[in-house]
Amino acid sequence: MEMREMRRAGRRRRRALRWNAVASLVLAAILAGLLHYLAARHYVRRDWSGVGFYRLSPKTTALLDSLQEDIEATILLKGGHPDLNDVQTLLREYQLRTPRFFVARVDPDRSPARVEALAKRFPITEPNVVIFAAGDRFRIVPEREWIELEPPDPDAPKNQAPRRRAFLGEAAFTAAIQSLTGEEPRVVYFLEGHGEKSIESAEPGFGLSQLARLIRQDGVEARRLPLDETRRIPDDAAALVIAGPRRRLPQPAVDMIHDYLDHSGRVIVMLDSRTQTGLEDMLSRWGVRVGDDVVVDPTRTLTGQELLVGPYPDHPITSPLARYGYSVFYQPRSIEPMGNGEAADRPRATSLALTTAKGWAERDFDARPIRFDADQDRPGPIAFAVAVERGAAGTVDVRLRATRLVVFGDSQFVANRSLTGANGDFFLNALRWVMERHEPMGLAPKSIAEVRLHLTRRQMQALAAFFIIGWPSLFALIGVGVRMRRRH
Amino acid sequence: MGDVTTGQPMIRVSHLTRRYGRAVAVDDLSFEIGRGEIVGFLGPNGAGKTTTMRILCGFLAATSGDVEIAGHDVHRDPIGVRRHIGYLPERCPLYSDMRVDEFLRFRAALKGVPARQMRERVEAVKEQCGLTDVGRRIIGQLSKGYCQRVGLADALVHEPELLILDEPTIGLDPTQIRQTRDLIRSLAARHTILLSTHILPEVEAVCRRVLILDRGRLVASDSTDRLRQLRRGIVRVTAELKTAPHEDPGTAFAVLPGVRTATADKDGEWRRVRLECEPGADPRSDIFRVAVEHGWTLREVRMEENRLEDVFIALTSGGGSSAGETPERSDS
Amino acid sequence: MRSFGVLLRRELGAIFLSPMAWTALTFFLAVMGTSFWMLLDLLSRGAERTEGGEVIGQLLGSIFFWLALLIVAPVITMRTIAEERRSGTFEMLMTAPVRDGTVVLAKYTAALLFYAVLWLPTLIYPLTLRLLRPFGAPLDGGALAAGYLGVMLIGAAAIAAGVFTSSITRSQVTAALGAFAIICVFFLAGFLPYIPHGETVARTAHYASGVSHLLDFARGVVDTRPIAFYLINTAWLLWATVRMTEARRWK
Repeated sequence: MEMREMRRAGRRRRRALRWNAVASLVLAAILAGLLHYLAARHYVRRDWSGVGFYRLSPKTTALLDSLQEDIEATILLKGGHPDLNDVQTLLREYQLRTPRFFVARVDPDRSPARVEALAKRFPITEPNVVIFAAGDRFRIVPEREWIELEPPDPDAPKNQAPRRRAFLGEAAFTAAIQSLTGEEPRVVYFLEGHGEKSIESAEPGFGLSQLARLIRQDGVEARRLPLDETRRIPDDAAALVIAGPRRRLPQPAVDMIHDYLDHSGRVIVMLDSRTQTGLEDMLSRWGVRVGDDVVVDPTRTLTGQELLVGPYPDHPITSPLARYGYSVFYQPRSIEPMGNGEAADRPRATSLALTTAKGWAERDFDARPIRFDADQDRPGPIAFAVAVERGAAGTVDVRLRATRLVVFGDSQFVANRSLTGANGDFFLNALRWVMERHEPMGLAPKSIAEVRLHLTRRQMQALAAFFIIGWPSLFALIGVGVRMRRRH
Repeated sequence: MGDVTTGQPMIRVSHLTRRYGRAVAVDDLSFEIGRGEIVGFLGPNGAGKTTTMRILCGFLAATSGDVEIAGHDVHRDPIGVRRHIGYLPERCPLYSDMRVDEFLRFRAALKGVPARQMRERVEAVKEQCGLTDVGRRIIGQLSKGYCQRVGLADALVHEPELLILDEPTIGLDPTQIRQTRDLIRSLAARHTILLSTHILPEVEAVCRRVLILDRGRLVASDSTDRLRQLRRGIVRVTAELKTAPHEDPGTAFAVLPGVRTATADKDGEWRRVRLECEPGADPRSDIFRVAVEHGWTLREVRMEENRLEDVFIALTSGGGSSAGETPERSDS
Repeated sequence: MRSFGVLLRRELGAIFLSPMAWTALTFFLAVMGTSFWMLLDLLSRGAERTEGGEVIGQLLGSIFFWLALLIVAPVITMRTIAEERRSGTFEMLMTAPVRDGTVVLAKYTAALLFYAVLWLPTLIYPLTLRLLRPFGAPLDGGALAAGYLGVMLIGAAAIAAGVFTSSITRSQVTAALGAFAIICVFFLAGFLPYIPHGETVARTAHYASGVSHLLDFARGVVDTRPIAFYLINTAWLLWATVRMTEARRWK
């Protein structure tokens, strides 16, 4: 009786144990999964390397940690692109920092369908870009913003790619992400009705369609604004651009622009020489003197028509331009700061483009040959682009925003046929600056070092013999020795 | 040690069952082995001897039932159990890449022999098993007999109370078998021994008790002597002799004391007479006397003694009837 | 703990006395030497722009590492348990007073130590690189240390996989093939993050991508995520191995 009891108990115990084994395997799998889940979410990431090529700066990590919405980045680069690894690795660091950021890559050669889909969604104008998108807002960062190339070497073979000098990925990408945060309106209006250049026109000399594409690529909408007495500047305007009017603006329109500026407006004015637009007086109240002249600089021109700009003065708009090279203006008029106000509520104007000391402002448009006349021309350096900022302090403006204004002495430099060199970026940076959407992060570029060994053919052969044959054989011999000793 | 009756038994197996899938290898097996006993585990191949031994050592788990070794439950305290056991597996697998000394030191350390006794213990078992000359040899290069000795030395090295030896003489030549048996016998004084075999003389030569297993069941458990008498069959005696053709040696022998029947071959120069006798009877001297009286030339008298083999065959092949005669004494 | 030490010594002895181990070491060094020489060749042509960490990525994180791991890890581990079960010595081993866990852990540790020994002779590569005094970025010590850490972590998991497959079969060949298959799947899955996917899949794939982990380690990035990934998997595999050896009793 007792025996049978024990037997049954024993059987039950064994069965329970076997069940335990199965259950514990399942439990362990679940536990491992859980640990993986936890480990993937709670982590520390350290960089032991001295270089820290892809190490994110505190500014970037702070921005990523504060993200409120999901940002998706798409790398649109071909397989063999020299920057691919850098861009991909850096953006993966972004992704590993926060679940809010996600990066994917599209290879145009392998998945043209996806490129097409992207092109439908975003105004992509060039092949090698990174697209940052948050909801319906986006920013397209082109290749030139993340890489700095060495100036082409005239002795180098024709088709050799220029050496990459520095990688600015973090500055470019972090700025792009920064510009996607916040809810500011993202429409820029181009004034029309006074002979201004049109963003709809593809005409080479007067059209701005290329510029409009650049702006859209930057995630900003560009719209026309036919301004007359009945219409006001729309509330959703992030900035107003007046692109080289040929006729005088009616006084109400000028007043309206002034009023807009006074209420923290953001305006870019491009005024060509030999025109009177009625804006000159208004601009002088903002500390900008618009000269009735043509700026020339024999040391900065090839044909006399154009004026090369660079090096640039130090300003958030111009400092990133250095690595894009020159920008080219066409017979600009002088645009100069009038002496800055001391109080915070006074506009402060800064020159953005200057001639050398050998240039001057020529007042006689028809003089041939053009030369400096000490009695009527002003000697260089002459400025022909100015940025103005007026702090928000003391104004009635409740949003406490600064007024920002950029005046260029030329509108030709952004026309379709002229959009070369750093021209587009000059304008784009000015637009970003007035819209306060491209604050420079102060992120240093990472210089790209080159490691090079000087080895002769013979040396290479010796190294091959040693590392592929000699070194392994040494250990094979030791193994043989061990076996021999072990034989008996 | 040596006293069977006092204290707890060395091995207590109760209602042990082990299945491989649906096949039953060990079926409700119960027995006890007292301290100091030398017990033979007998049975044909596939009877469940190895399975049972592996369960005793904790190498296999029982499907049901309990096993206690020196008071430790094999399932609950496998490590404690193994400390008490010196196990020699079947076919004696060893690390063939090690030297004998290395191997024995490794095993001794693994079995918890203290470092300062190590040398002494290893030397002692080498001495015991006749391995003193081969200490530096690599096991893989030793003969089968030496391997067996190394295995035995390994089983002994931590001075276990219980030795479990699975077919210790299999594959050895007759000299080696005799040496091994002598060795086991010499161990009997200090260890409890359970050894399995399917060779009768081994059990007869070494063991005092036999457990007979067939198809996973215990069919007999008794002392070797008693088992020998178990089958109270008939003693057979065969005599070969030359008689005159008309004489019938059968009738002459049939009247001898203890002889039940005697039948002789009808013709031939040398005639063979087969006698069936009472248990315990030994008519050989009578046969000789009768032959001399009749003037027959006696060439051979052979008595086929009842041996364990007969018991074994009867118990395992005959099924129930013989087994019924043998009560399982240990299962109380 | 004493039995662990005893078993470990025996396992190490068995590994270093087997011709397989020395063959594996020779093969491994030949493969890694080829990899290193190709790096030297690349640098001598100077076409490649590289920073300190990237050199180590080429040194440790190249396809050659994976090739070597795919061969070497199964070879080291295939005999650990399968061979003992085939030859029957497992019975002798498991009837000694040792726990299954101790046996598995000792066998695993021995294999891992041998794997570490495989890498010791490769330290000559960074040393050579320093002696050759390349023009430009020198070797980055931090990245080198992190690279070797990554190599060891991946190896630790691969060897755990090998010991596991060795515990489920009696055949060394089957065990090796099983380990090869597991490491192979893991290696190939390492490319998943480089193929377009939805976000969840891509993130998971990146968490489990050995290829990108190793490249990250080799450029000096030490992240707890891959470390945890390999340690958890190693622990899980070893635990399953112990369970498999225990389950053998029921079989």
